[in-house]
Amino acid sequence: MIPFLQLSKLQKSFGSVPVLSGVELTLFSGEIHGLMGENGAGKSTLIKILSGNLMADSITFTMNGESRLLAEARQSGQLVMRFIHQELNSIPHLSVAENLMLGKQLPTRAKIFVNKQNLSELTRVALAELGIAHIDPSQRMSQLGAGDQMLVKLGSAFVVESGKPSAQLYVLDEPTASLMPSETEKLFAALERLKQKGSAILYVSHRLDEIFQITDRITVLRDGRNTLVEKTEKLKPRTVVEAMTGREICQHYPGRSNILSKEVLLSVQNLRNARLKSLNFTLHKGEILGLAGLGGSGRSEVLRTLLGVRDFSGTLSLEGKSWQPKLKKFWQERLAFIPEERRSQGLVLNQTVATNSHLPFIGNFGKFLGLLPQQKLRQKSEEAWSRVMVQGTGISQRIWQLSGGNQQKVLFARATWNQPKLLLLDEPTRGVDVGAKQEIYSLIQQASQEGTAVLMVSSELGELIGLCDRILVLRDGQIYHELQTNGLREADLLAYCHGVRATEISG
Amino acid sequence: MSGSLQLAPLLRRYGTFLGFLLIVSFFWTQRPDTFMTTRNWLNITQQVSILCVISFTMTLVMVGGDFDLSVGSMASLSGMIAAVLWQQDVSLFGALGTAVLVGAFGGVFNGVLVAYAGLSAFVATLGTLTIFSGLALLVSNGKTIFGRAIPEIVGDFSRGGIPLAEGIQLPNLTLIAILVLILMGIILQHTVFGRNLHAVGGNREASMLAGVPVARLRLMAFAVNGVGAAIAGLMLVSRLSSANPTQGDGLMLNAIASVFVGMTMSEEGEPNLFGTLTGVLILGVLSNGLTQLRIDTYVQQILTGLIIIAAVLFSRLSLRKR
Repeated sequence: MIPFLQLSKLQKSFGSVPVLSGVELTLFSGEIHGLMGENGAGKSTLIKILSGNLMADSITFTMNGESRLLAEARQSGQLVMRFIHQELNSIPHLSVAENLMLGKQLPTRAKIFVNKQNLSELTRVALAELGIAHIDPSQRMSQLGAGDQMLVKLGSAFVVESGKPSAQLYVLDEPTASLMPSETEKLFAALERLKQKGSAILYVSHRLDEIFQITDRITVLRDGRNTLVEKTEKLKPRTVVEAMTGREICQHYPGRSNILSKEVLLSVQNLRNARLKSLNFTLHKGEILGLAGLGGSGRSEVLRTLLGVRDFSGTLSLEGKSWQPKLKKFWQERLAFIPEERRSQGLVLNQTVATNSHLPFIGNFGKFLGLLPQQKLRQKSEEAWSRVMVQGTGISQRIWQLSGGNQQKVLFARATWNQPKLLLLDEPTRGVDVGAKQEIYSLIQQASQEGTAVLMVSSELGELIGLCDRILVLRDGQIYHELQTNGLREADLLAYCHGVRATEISG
Repeated sequence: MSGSLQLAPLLRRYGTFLGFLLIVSFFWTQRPDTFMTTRNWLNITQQVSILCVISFTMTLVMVGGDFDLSVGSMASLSGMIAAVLWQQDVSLFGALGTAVLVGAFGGVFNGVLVAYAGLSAFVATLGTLTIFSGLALLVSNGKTIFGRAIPEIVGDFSRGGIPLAEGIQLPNLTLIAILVLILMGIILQHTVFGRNLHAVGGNREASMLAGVPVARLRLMAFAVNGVGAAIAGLMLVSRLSSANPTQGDGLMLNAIASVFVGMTMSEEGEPNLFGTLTGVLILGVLSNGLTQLRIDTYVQQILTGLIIIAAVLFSRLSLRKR
């Protein structure tokens, strides 16, 4: 059987960093194909190359067995694809119908006026494909809930444009992220119908249960390479998880001294808010505690609550005293935080390394009329800078000139400025190269040895296991497991995050 | 690294200043006897001093990532209030103080709307522009106040100065602009307020997460700018020896234009005082030189607009190559 599409020997690098090295993807007509892999494995790069948002460095491409150029096939209209991306980027003040038809030819009267009747009809038909009748095409998008908005986006895949060929390939990236189970079922039924009509569907998801429910074959990527291509019926969840994480832990983690202080720094009792359901945990001085879970499990929400930017109920105590987190006092209480989005939430990019490292503390320096003792400030910044081993020209360098890893180290210089009691880390090594990762690991380790309690969120499970003393697994805003990291396997931890039962893991 | 590689950032950074020098040399060659004289330059500084004050405090607001459309009408309002008070026989300093207070209050009002109520700076200050302008008309009844109502010393002040040499003096208004320049320079470079304001303008969210009191800083910047506008308004009354309810209105566009032109002179595209000063001087020299060349003021306006666009466009183009 000749595959409909075949991409092979796919290479792509960003600068000197290879993202895809010799990846293959084969799609048949009338199949639902699962694409899996951890964050950074290269899934989205692969999709962007398909959609034409990125150019491959080199690629061999065949369509129905004939060797072609991908861009040419796409532009000539012989290869018609529809992409549904995971982020909700709808336009809130336009109608449902207008959102659904975004980027497509609107039906017209006399070639200039929008034919609202036809527009509504097209929308209704597309939504009906998904079994949806409760959304009015003329409603404003902003009046819909997140789930319904996602349905409208999904609906746009099912629009039948007059005079245009229907799509041969549908690419869906995490389409069920904000759907209810019943809506997910309707989506699956619709995908099944598309498949019956002979379309190929590339289905990207982190959710093992979904992948096993609907796909015919699975491709797994890891670090930009194929690690698994197989029919779904021949696979077990465990095999797929191992193909995703696979590697022996090749990262080197600094050894833990394992002598934990008995002193509790932070205790959290019955913490609740809109996204968290009754959390209880304690954090000891010098301990590194990991928070694991899938996106949306509430991991980062815990950090934000402790930072003082979320309403909550429950009892928090810090060093035995009742504690109400307030962002404005946060850093002054010798607490520190490194946010998830380095560039947008962490750094002031147009400023110097020094400014970025002393940002929370500058107020402590101005004595008379707020005038700054420049000499002292520079000296303290130099100290912080040498502590974190940044590769750069000095503290007066503009921070945008540094690499991601070195920028992250500057954030560590800030976070360890005054020997914090508590350090909150959100994805501390995201977008950081391997060498810098290593150095960041030792910085975390060093902080904990100096008595700082670390609470760390990471999607890199190997990192959590390697660094942390304990790991809490969160799902739907609840703590499902508390795990000791000694002897914990990455594949097991991933399975816990996915909510696979313990029996299936050992099976 | 070769020489040509290093030239590009220099050109980007100082291109606007180079443009300023080119404009100066052009007028110098056209009017060799009258343009490049100490007297004329002191004259130019006096002509731009009012715009200077308002542009320097505007730089502060723009460093914090906001801007303020209401400064022109605030200048009109504060001048008008002082004049009305003098007319009512309020003391010299009583009236001046009240006018400055009104400026501070207006600035705080802007700051509350923008930093605490979360309105966009454009909408909020467009609204207060209209309010201040209406207030100026209201307190003056739409009339110009001049002549004996304005204390003599007010008009004399702008004609006076510190003698430098025979027949040459540093005008008082220039002196005020220099003082404001130094003050803003110290605030922006050497105080907690100023350094934090740079951070807020660079990345508001990151600053907030670092515990910087973002809203309070933005409010303070607006307050300083309100005071700056009020002082500029009073300088204008001194210079014209009269007050009318719209005389400061034109200052706002020129002040924002000056800061924008100045932003082309920093590598990161940040507002900066040296740049703002250059921007103001470009406007001042153009107006002075073109007048000496007897070019119609309407044509002057067109040329000024074109030169502002050219400066910003040039820096854009060189930035894109990075």
